[in-house]
Amino acid sequence: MKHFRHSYLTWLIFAWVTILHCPSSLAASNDQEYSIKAAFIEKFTHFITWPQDKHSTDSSNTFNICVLGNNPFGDKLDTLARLTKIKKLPVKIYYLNHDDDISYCDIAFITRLPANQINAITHKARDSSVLTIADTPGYGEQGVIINFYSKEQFLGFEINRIESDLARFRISSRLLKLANIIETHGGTP
Amino acid sequence: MISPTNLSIKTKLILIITSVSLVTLSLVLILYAYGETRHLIKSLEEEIAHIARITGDYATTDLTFKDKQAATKTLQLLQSTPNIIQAALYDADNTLFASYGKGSPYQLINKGHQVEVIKRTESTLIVHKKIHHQNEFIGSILIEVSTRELQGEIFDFILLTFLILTVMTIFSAILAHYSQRIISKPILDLSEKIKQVKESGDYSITAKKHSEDEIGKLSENINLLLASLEIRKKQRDRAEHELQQAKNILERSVYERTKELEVANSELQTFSYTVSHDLRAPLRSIDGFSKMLLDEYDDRLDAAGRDYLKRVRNATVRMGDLIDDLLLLARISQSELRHEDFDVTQTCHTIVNRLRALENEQRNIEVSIEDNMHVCADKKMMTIALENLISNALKYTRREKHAVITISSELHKGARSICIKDNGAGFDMVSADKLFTPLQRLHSPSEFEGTGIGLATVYRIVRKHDASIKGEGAPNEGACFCMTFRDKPYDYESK
Repeated sequence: MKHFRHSYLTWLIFAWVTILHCPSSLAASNDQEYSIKAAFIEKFTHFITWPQDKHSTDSSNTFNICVLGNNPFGDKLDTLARLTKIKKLPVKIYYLNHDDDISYCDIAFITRLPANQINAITHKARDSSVLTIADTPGYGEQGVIINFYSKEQFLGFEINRIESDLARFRISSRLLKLANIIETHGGTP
Repeated sequence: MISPTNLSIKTKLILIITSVSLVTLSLVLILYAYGETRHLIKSLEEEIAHIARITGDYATTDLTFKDKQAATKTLQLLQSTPNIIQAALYDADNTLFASYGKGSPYQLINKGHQVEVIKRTESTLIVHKKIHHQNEFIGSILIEVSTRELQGEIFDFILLTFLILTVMTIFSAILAHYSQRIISKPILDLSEKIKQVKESGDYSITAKKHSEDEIGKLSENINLLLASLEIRKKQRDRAEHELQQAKNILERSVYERTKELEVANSELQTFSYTVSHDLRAPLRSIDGFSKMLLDEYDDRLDAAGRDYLKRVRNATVRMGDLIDDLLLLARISQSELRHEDFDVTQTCHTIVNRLRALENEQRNIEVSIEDNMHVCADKKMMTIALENLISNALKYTRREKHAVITISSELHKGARSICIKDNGAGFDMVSADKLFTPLQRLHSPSEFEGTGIGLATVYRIVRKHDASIKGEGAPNEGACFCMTFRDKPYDYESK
């Protein structure tokens, strides 16, 4: 039953992705764009391994996805959390302010923020092994591990290898080959 | 047409050895080639399946994140693998996602639930493998590879196998040609020796023994056989020689005996002539002078003198009869038989009539002669025999008031018997063996006159005809004489 639900969800996401992946669809709707991003976020977890101590110290037994700043996803992430598990754990979505504690988050999606705040967040995230994802140009260089970008109607992403290593993530080479690799330090707060 | 049975033992051996090794080698090489081919195909299948698995695995993110460019790049990695004609990635909906190579777009061959499907066509091998990521079906990969190179390899391998087979067959034929001599040479030698023996008839030839095996034993036994044949031949030659000598001796003695017999015969003829003429002359003188005495000196003789002279004359008549009979007996022994159809009935009637007329006393004689009796015999001789037997019957029934004489015939087991039966004086069977002996008489001359030569003459005649005669009788109860002829009809053609 679980498997069915999982497959059902995957099918659903892929249905969206397929529909939305048509050229010109990306710009057409903000709503559809974030559906794809939500699906991508879930897919990233398949190819990324969190450090061993991340989940053993975390007693919540949930996979926590935090959104810092204004939520651009609408209810997409909530639907995701309701329908699927990540790393065999139930998914929980937290909507936080940029200065909230993010140490319990597994993934932190960072919306557009002032530059000094980004550094503080990436620094915190690095220590707590939080996978930071953003969709603002230049954030990759600033220390966000995965940063979406749009190019010729195509949703691509860049990965900061230095930051991912510092946060002790192990990223599958198969995922890396799809990404633009950035190798810069995010700096310190 | 050449039949396998007509081939020489040498050719047969070579053929057998060569064909056995050919069959064995062929079987081994066919099995080996089959196994090797299977192994090559299996290896290729495994290799391509492995490549499909790695490539599929590598394309996982391409499919997950729908990155067609990346997928195309992934497939282009296959160019390092030779023989790949085309490759294609399909997404979870089985829609073509990315492709590589210039082959025609390929139909999906794996639409079922199988993870991996391998299909072989005439010149290609297609592997279609489903790609799963974390138990989720995300697409599939198809790789088509040319098997021409593999076929070339297999063909080369078969060619090599055939070459090995040919070389090995030639080698085994050569080997068989030399090694068959071990078996064929002794047999051929033996055959040659036996041929020599057959042509020359010389049993002293011996066959050479080559080995201690069955053929060696055969040579040994044939030598023994030849030796025993040699002994036999010598024995036979000696026996033949002895036989020839015995034959020569026998021939000489036969020649001598024949000469002696001829001399004896001519002497006997001379003797017969002497008897018939020279003995008769004094008899005639005795008889003549006795008659003259009776005629001219009758008045000067008394009754006793006349009686003596009559006795003298009777004696000379008997003497004459005896001479006649003896001459007849001698003639019968010498005369040649002339077989012809002889009417027994007719002859018997003639004899009986003539003898009846000579009878002095009138007496009641009943003679019954069976009609139509015939035998194949010499007419003259048989007449003498029948006359003797019938006259005997009349003589020995002289004292019977009512004489009964029966002449009949009977056929028994292909032999015809002529029997003359009377009811006369008969004889004692004790002395039956003397019946046919010359000059032997069972009755005294005072009882019945006779010379004792008649039955001996009959016996001689019957024996000359290769027939038999038997006499049966009892004193005063009559006698019966039966002549038995082999029933041989008269052969008119040969006469």
